[in-house]
Amino acid sequence: MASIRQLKKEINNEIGAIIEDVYHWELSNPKADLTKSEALIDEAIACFDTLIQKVNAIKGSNTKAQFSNIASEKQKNIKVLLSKFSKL
Amino acid sequence: MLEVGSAIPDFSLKDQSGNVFDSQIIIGKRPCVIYFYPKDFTPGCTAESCGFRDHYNDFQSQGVAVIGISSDSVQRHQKFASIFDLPFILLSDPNQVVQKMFGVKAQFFGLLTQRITFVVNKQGLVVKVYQSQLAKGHIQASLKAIKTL
Repeated sequence: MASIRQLKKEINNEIGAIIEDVYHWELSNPKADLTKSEALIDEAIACFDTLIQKVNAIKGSNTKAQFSNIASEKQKNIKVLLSKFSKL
Repeated sequence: MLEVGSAIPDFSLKDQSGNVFDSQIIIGKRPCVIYFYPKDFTPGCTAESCGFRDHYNDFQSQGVAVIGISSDSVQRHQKFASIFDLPFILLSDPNQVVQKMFGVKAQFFGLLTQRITFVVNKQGLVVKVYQSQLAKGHIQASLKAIKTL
């Protein structure tokens, strides 16, 4: 089972990488309407915030299940963010 | 770009609370570390800002102010500071006016701020310029430089 520190690191790096990719897209498309890409960055930040709050709230005896739920929610969110990114 | 011995120019920008920060409040009155970075929430910038946060007491204990500057909006800075508990000043420089005053060259078609740190003494003069895309080195270089103040 991953540690809390490791899970936070994964959330930080994986969602941070998507945000970085969106910024690079914006810079590569200076004439594009940035409304959707800026909304996607806001969504990624909100998703990051929610996941970190959930990690911080892990407690009790069934921590393995809580970890697993957050990890799968992270994957699900990343899939949604990447799908929106591909449609920019 | 400003070099060791250069005087820091006067500037004003909005901080993460939306208040106007006037550089004369700090520059020339107490030492400070000013770090320019590309974008909030990207991995390198998060690591760098959290590094300054984790060593904030080391800077505070020597009376050194820490100031981060990027082209992000006040709202993004507010969120960034709140999520990562950043205790220092973040300034929003959307038109890269201050970045240009410091002579910090932009990268990526001139649109993204470079990662550069200036350590400034109490007299408002640059004592150290550190440039690297790797975040961790900026904190170590700043800590080393403030010991010489």
